[in-house]
Amino acid sequence: MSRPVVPLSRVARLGMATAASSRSVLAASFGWLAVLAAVYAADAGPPLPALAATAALLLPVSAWATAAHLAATSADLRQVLVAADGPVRTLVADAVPALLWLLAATAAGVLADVAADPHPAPVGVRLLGALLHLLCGCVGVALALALHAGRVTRGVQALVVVAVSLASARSPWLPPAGPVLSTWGSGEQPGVLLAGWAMGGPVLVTAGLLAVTLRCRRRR
Amino acid sequence: MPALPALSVRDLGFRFGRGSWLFDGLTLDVAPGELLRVRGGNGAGKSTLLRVLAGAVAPRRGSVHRAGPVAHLPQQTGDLPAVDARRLVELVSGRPGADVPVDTRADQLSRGWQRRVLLEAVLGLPCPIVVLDEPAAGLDAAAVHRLADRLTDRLAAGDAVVLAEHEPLPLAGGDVLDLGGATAPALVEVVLAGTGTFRGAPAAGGRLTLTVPPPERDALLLAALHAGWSVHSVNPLP
Repeated sequence: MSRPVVPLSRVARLGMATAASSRSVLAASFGWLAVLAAVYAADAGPPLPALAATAALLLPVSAWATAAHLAATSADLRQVLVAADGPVRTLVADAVPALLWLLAATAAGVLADVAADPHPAPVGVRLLGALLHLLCGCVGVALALALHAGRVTRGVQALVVVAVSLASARSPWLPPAGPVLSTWGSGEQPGVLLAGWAMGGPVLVTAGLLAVTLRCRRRR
Repeated sequence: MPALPALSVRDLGFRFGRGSWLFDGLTLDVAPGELLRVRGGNGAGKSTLLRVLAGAVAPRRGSVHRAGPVAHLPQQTGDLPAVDARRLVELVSGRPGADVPVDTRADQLSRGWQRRVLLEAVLGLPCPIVVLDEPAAGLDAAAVHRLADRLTDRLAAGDAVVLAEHEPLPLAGGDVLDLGGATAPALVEVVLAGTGTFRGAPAAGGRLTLTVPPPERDALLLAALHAGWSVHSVNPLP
């Protein structure tokens, strides 16, 4: 693979500077903190179900933050980067700030549980909770990238994200929220198959959405 | 042994959805150090062709082979992010922009200046192929000449340059690819209403018809209005 004309570190710094100046990204960040405050305002129950619930809620919020970042990023600059370094590297460049936001949101979600959940839990539970946040958040990021690549308007994007989040939360088999909530959200130890689907399902959905994103971007 | 082309296009075709083909069966080579000027009227497909050549869009038919990455200035939209303009140029191109406002956010600049900032970032990219979509749009005369000098340097250094242009840039040589479409009229017919003579021509039946090249149209209209004539109509002639 050839050396990129615009190194990822520079594109990521540009993306971070753009995200930092976006009020919409700030609004999504406060939205996530408000969700955590609402969940942990009272006793949220044992840590794993509480973490599974906030992980499921991270799906729409991470999609919101990603959509806000993409809207703040220049379409002109994106075209420049695609010509210089190709669509895959440009997609990575678009995803890096969103993934950094997701890491911070995951850390906030786990720290909120550590600080506000009165029930004791081993470190492994918190690590599993962090993984669930990352899996659900990645689907949100990929969903926002795909909707943006399909030139879906912001209002319709919001409707699609809410509908997908609700459908996923209501269906035990539909990743990412459904399997996460129906396994670790119930407070019981899930079977291997269900646990595997709860982990592998979001990965498959994320990969599929990224493939759709690349295809849409190439056809513009 | 002849140099391999920097840009090699074979049987290229593109259309949006099931619409008519903007271009089809296009085959061309651009060698290192060579200039290709793409011309055509509005909607002829110049910008789309440049986006395909740059790799921003996949062709519907045919193939494009590039010898390396492309420095591509897309068509003007003016949507730069809320980042310091000089920092933006530095982050994209790796070098500070010489011709960029200091301590000013890129999104707060006028569209013309945003264009210049983006152009500065693109021209700073170390790419062997340069594809610029109407780079002179919105630039003053001095900036156009600076741009022409920089492109001359890039050509001399062996970079291939492809330009979409309405008004030709002051650059020597280059092959021309004309995509057709609505082109600028060769002459403009100005019909004035009034009596007497203007510029040595007498009016007949209250009308005076003059024919001028497009660049002289505005000066003629201004002079006619100052002289007390009314403008009846202005018509482009093929």
